[in-house]
Amino acid sequence: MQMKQLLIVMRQTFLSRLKTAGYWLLVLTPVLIVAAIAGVVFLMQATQNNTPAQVGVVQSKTLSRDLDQDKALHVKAIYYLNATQAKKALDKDQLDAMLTEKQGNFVLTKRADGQTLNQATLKNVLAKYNTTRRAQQLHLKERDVDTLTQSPKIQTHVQSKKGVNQNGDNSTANYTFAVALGILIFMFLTSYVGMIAQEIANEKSSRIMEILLAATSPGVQFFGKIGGIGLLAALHGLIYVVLGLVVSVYLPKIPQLQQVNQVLQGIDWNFALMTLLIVFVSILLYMVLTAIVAAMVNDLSQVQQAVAPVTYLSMFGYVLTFLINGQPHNVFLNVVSYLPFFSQTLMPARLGLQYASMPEAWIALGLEVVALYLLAKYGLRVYKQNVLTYREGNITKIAWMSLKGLFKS
Amino acid sequence: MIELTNLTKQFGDKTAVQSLNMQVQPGEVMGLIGQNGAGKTTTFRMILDFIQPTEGTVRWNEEPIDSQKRQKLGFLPEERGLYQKETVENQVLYFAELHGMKRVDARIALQDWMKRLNVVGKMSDKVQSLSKGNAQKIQLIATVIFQPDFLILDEPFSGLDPVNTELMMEEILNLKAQGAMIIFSSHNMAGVEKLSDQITMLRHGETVLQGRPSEIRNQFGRTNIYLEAPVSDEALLAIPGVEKLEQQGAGRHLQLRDEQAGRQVFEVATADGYIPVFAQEPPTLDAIFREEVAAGERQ
Repeated sequence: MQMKQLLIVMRQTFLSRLKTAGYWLLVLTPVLIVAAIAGVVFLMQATQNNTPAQVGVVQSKTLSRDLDQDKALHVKAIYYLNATQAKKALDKDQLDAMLTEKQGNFVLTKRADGQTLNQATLKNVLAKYNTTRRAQQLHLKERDVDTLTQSPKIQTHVQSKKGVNQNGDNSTANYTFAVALGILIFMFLTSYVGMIAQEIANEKSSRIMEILLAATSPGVQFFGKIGGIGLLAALHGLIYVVLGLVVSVYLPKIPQLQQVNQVLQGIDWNFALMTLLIVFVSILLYMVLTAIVAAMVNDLSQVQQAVAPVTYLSMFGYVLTFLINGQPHNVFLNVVSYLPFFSQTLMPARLGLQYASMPEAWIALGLEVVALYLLAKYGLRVYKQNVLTYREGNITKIAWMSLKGLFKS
Repeated sequence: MIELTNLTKQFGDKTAVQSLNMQVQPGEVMGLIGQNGAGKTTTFRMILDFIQPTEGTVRWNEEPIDSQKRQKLGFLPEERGLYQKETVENQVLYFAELHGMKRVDARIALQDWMKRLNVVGKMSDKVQSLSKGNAQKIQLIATVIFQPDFLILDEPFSGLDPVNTELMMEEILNLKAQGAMIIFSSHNMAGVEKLSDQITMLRHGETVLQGRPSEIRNQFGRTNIYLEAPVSDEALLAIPGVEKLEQQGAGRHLQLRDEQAGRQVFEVATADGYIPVFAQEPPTLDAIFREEVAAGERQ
């Protein structure tokens, strides 16, 4: 009987929220943001002007040839007999820049609205030109010059708990990823916390709860609501898994999105699924906690105030996520990353940065599950006390007192 | 049968309900009356297991009210509540399903109820788009759609206009005719008298009156006379036992200290022959209620 009622409450909660624009906005916002960024990058790349910059080189045919032949520089060099002719061409917008040389020093005059010229590459080409010229004066062979000027090659391999990453050091991309992940998880968490709080507070303040509890029990309502919103979170995760599959197939095929591909290089399916699991259990954990405090409100205007302690709790782990990059051995961060209520942002970030291994993530997940079981067991009792009691006074204080009394017999 | 035995609830040192005993048989209506704070809602909350009694028991056919029995229990709270943004259909069907009714049967029953109660609106309308009266009808439908065996109605007439009050009374009587056990609270004494087979009056949690309305009224004697006769006020007030006289509509209302004084009033009033109205009755439930409240305040 109770199981049937539980399923009915879950279905009602799930379906009524599924129909709201708010839920779909929550699901699609990150996708839309990523799509918008990808779209802008794609657009920028696609509409980029690839015409090489026209550079007038005064008096030196050799230099003109060297600039023309350098593929990295990507310019069209035009030889001029004197600076006056080159200046005229620059004034008439026939050139983007002019280059003059005096005793091994160079003067580059650019048009303000001319094509972009990579000055670092230009500097390298000019340095090589100077070296070659001096080598010729010293009667050195070209091969000797090349040997002398060749810079050492450094190939970076990153040894992590997952093994050796041959793709090199990707720390900036990893930090970006960890922070983005933290923001997204915090956003999802607070959204689901808000949903369950609204759901319970609305039913309590409108006295629908009394009608529901006349037919069912507090346990059915408590777990039914959490189950219903939990299903929404599960669907949310499933949508991202499907989108992830689609992206993993098509992203490498889009050359314009190589940068995005590089950021996501360290992510594999084990990591993605573990993150989803940790986040899902933490959403349930926070929902149980929120259900307990939301059951105390007398009307909807008190919801924000009542759930404030829960929000502060979730913010703690979120803020720490910003500090995690470059701190692989910080004892405080490492310990906190295992703790339920904080692990949802910290452990996935550590895992993504390859500061933590998969078994460590399993431990964090296991601790979350244990905490969820205990909180649900003891929380139901407090929920039952609160849900039909209408109390006056400072709701935040009452919420703290209620949470403090959670495990009292 | 619903049986409340020695039901007591204390909040700290305050007694909200004191040793309440009550029996309601199938097809019987119990009216629970009393001032605000007399303990009516606390009694309902104990029956519904929202709060635990300090002492006493609530039994349904000699057994506690378990989840199985709750399926056949309907409750209309004093402060009405519906999901404003849900459609009529979605929420009534949800409540019906929680009471073990099949969705398909509930949909048919909802159509029938909406027709019977003249609800202006469609099943697909959101509650927030309904008028207050129609929303209250939907609330009633949600409470009774599954044909409860036991019905608790906390101030069912509160906020209703006379037409809807009448409609509500008719439906309560229909449910009673179908064998439902009904306990309801109300400040509408005319409604209580019309509907109730039995009445319990609470004052500060204590039971001060209990029984059939006619029996309760008769306990106070036929001390009220309504009279339309060509006789002076002075002549009537001069009769021993006449306590008070006041104009009431086309006639006068006399309050007697002793119902035996009624004979003398009749003789004086009919001294010249025919009079259109002489009615000697016990006090109304409303008058008894006021008297009991006043007595409580004097204590």
